[in-house]
This record gives sequence, structure tokens and C-alpha cells, in this order.
Amino acid sequence: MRCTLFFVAFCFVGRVSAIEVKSPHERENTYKASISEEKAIAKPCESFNEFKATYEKLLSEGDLSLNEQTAARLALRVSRGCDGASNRFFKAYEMMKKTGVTLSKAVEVGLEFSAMDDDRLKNFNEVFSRMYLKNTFDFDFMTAYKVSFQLSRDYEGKAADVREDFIKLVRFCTKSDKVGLPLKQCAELSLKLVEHTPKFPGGLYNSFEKFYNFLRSDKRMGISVIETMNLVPQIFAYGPKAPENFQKSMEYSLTSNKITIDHVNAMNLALRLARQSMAQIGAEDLDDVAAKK
Amino acid sequence: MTLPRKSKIIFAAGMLLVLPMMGFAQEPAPSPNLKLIESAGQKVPVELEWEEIPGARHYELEFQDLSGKVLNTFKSTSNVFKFKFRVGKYIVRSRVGDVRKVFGDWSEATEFAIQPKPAFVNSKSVTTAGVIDPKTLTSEVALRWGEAPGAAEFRVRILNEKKEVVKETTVKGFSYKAELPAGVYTVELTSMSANGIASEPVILPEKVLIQSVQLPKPEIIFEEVVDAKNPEIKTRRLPQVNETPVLRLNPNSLSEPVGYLEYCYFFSEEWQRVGDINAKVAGSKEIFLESAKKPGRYRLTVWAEARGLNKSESVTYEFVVKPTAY
Repeated sequence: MRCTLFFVAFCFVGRVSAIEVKSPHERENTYKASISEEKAIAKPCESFNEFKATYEKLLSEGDLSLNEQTAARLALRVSRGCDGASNRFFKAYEMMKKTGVTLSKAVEVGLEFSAMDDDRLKNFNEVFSRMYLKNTFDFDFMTAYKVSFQLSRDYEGKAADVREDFIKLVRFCTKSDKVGLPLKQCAELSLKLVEHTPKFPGGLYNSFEKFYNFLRSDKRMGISVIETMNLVPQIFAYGPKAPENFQKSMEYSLTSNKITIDHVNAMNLALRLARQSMAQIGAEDLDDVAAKK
Repeated sequence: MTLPRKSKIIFAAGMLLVLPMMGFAQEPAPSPNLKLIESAGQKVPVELEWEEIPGARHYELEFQDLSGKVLNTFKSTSNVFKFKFRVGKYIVRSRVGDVRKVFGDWSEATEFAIQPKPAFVNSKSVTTAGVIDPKTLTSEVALRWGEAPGAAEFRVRILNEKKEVVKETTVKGFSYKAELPAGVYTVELTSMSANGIASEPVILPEKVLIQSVQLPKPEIIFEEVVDAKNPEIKTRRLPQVNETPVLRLNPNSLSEPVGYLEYCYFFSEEWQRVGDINAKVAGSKEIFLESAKKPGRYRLTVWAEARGLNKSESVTYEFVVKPTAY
């Protein structure tokens, strides 16, 4: 009997601790938590409140003109998204409707985000509006739509990091006089860069800005804007230490009298050291492979 | 007048002559069939023939004016008469005689006309560009023909495909110019003598084909937006006034642009017509696309139209209206 009680109590405590530790908001703060993990976690929900809020708002939404039965059915689906689902549904739905998307698709997008957390919706809204609006990147609808989903619904890293990186990069592209990049190319560079955000705890923007300024302002580098555009994502692919290693190597090669090396080889060395900034245990060095052959 | 070529006009006057023969008193009077073979010039050569009458050795043909005054009597020993005579209307009678020159009675007098020759035409008689001038909506058609013996003037009739006469005039010379709209025409030419006798009409061997012109496609004027950081990168869009897209077209004095504006939601293929475009109605060369304010996809279709000309191919342009903020 005691054993049984202990077992029940243990299970109960175990569930409570699981709920407390892994709430979705907290999970977002966990580096590289997967979406599948997120969906499996249970938590208490104000499902009635979500249903009621959604249902009443749907009935008053003139464009959809839903009858009570259809509105209730849709509200029920929305309320499955737990707390904040109604709000998320309408935010995504309104944004798509305002863009000129068919109402059925707007509802579909709303439903997708009603089932996710606030951060993912925020990513979608922030990324979409910056990608699509004329006063920022002014991309076509489909590109903006796809990228917004990539950086929200489908993004496997910490949503807030990639959102912050993206927003800062947009600001860098649109406001900075130092960029010297056409807006579209700057946008493409930004999108290539945020692919590597998960490798940079807390985001990569600060590293990027520092590295970009080094490449563009240090005359010893002597590389063009296009070369910079190609080089930056290549370096950032190797993680947070790569830009730093690249920069240090270049500075050493170009200033120290202990190493005699021309510009091309200095660049090759810096690239090589940037590549080695992300240790892959067990991976063979390219030179070793060549030597074996 | 010279006779460029002889054409044959067969005039049947079978009942013209009834000749009771003196020497053939017991026999029924022969009935020669008189045919006008040809005539030329103001005095045109005339060749008349009738069926041979058995036993007849002499033939006489008497021409009288309409008051009955004898103008000439032609004699022949064969059933063919060749002579020259003025174009006009006459009373004619005939008789035949036997080997002894004993003639039968004159046939009954019959009215008989000598017509002018039809005008000479060939495939080169019509000259035309074959395409209308977009400014006048017509094409000049020049007709030329040769002299016609006995003709003092020519009646030109131009008929359309429905056989309706669209132009009819009388010309003294040998050419005529007309401005015709697009269509397919037949030209009919009739020689007229000074006293109003008409030849058989002659139809020009080839039809006159005049095609209409297709209007050029309207040209939409776009506005170029230059990338602030790279002036070489330019994007184009419809000019905008207070966030409203404006349709401007390169001016074309011949036509007015006509068309429509459609709207389509993203993720839909169904285009809904949201406005009509008619520069004439708008009374301006600038058309404000007021119905293109709602965010979404728009498709503009315009073409040129003008009366009497074929409408141009249409031009379509798709654009997107974005919200200004979220």
C-alpha cells in the first residue's frame, strides 16, 4: 500500500515538475529545442475563454460571414492552441487578410499560428512585414511568405534570437549609410546569415556588424562589396569563433614580421582557420586525406 | 480612234428578216438570223451575218434612221456583211435576191442598235496599296482602261461584297481614282456613246481588296524606381499619385485605349473584374486606377480601338498593391 501510494505520489510530482519545467515559453529559451518536443508537452489551458473569444469575434467578422455552427467549429479548433490561441489566430488572420490573401488561406494561416507559441507568431509577423512592405525589403509576396514561415513555424532554433537578428539586419540594410549594398542584395545576405543564428547563442548580429565593419573599413583587406557578401556567410557558417579567428589571422599575417605571406595566402590561411573554428571530433583534415592518397 | 483589238459582239436578230423571194414565189420566205459581229470607232466596223438561204445569191440590208429616212443600203453576195457605221439606234430591214437579181419583199423593219465597244481592261487596270491609310481610313484605288471604239465616256460602278453600288460616276478619260474603305470590291465599266448608247458592261478581272490596319498596341508608361544604394538597379512600376496607381499611355492620335482592371487574391486563380478603362470616357490621358487600392494582385488589360480600324493586340500588366503598414 505504501509502495503504491509512493508510486502514485512520485508520478504526480513527476508530472507537475514536467509541466513546470517545460512550459512552451520556457522551452523557447532552451537552445535548439525541437518542434516535435514542443508539441508533446502538456499544460493547463483556458480553453473556454479561448473558444468564447474566438467564437464571438468570428461572428462579428463581416468578411467571413460565418453562421453559428461554422464559427463554433472553427473556434473549437482555434481553442485547441491553448492560452493566447484566439489572439494568435486573429493576428495572423488579420495580417494575411490585410495583405490580400484569400480568406480561406488567411484562416488556415491563423489556425497554424493559433497552435504555436507567441514567439513564433511574432517572428512570422515581424519577418513578413519587413520582407513584404515597400519601406523595407519590398520582396514579392511568395518570397516574403516562404521566408516568414522558414523563420517562424519551421525554425528549429530559438525564435527570439532569429527574430532579433533579422530585425537588426533589416535595420542595418535600410538605415546604415556604411552598408554600400543594394537593398535586395543586403536582404539576401541577411537571409543567408540568419540560417546560422542557431550557432550563435544570443544571436549573431553583434558579431556580424563588427566583422562587416572590419572587412569594409580595413583597407588592408582590399575586398569588394560583392566579395564581402560572399565571404561573410561563408565564415559565419563555422560558428561564433570563426569571424574572430578569421580577423585575428588576417591581422597577424598582414602586420606581424614573424610571418612572411602575401595577401592571397593570408586570406587562405584566415579562411582555413575560420573553418577550423567549429571542432568536428573525428573528422579528418583535408590535408590528411590528401596525404593518405 | 484606233482599234486596239477586235472583240465580237453577237447580236441575234433572227426574226429580223422575212424575205419572200421573187424567184421562189412558191417557196416560203427565208428567215435570215442577223448577228452583229463587231463595231469600232465613232464609225465602227460592223459585221453582220445571217443564215444562208438556199437559192439566195444577193443580200441587201437597209439602214434607216428612227424617222424612217434611208441612211444606207448594203449589198452582199454572201450572208456576211462587213461595213462601217456610226454607233446609234436604227431601223433595219433586209431582203434577198436570186441569181437573176430578182428580190423578194423587204422584211419587217426592226429597231437595231450599234453599241460602242466595251473598254479594254486587264489585270493591271487596278492599282491600290491594298491597305487603308489609318488617318483617312481609306485607300486610294486607281483604275485605268484602254480606248473603246464608239465610246465617248465611261460609266464606272464600284460594288461592295453585297453587290451594293458604293460609287458610280461617268468619266470622260481612261482613268479614275476613288478613295475606298476596307473591303472587297468589284468594278464594272460600261462604254457610253455620245448619244447615250451603252456597251455591255465589262467587269475588271480581279477584285479590289482593301485591308484594314491593325492599331498598334498601346504602350504603358512606367515609372522607374532607382535603388538608392546602386543607381544601376532599377525597378519599374505604374506611376503613383497619392498611393493610387495611374495608367498613362504613350499618345496615339488614332485611337483611345480601352480595357479593364481585375483583382485576384493571393492563393487564388480567380480574377474578378473591378473596373473598366476607357480613356474617352475618362476624358484624360491619365487614368487613375481608383479601384486598385485594396491590397492584393491586380491585372490590367488594355488595347487600342478606333472606328474603321482593327483593334490592337492587348497588353497586360500585373502589379501588386501592398499595405502601407500592418
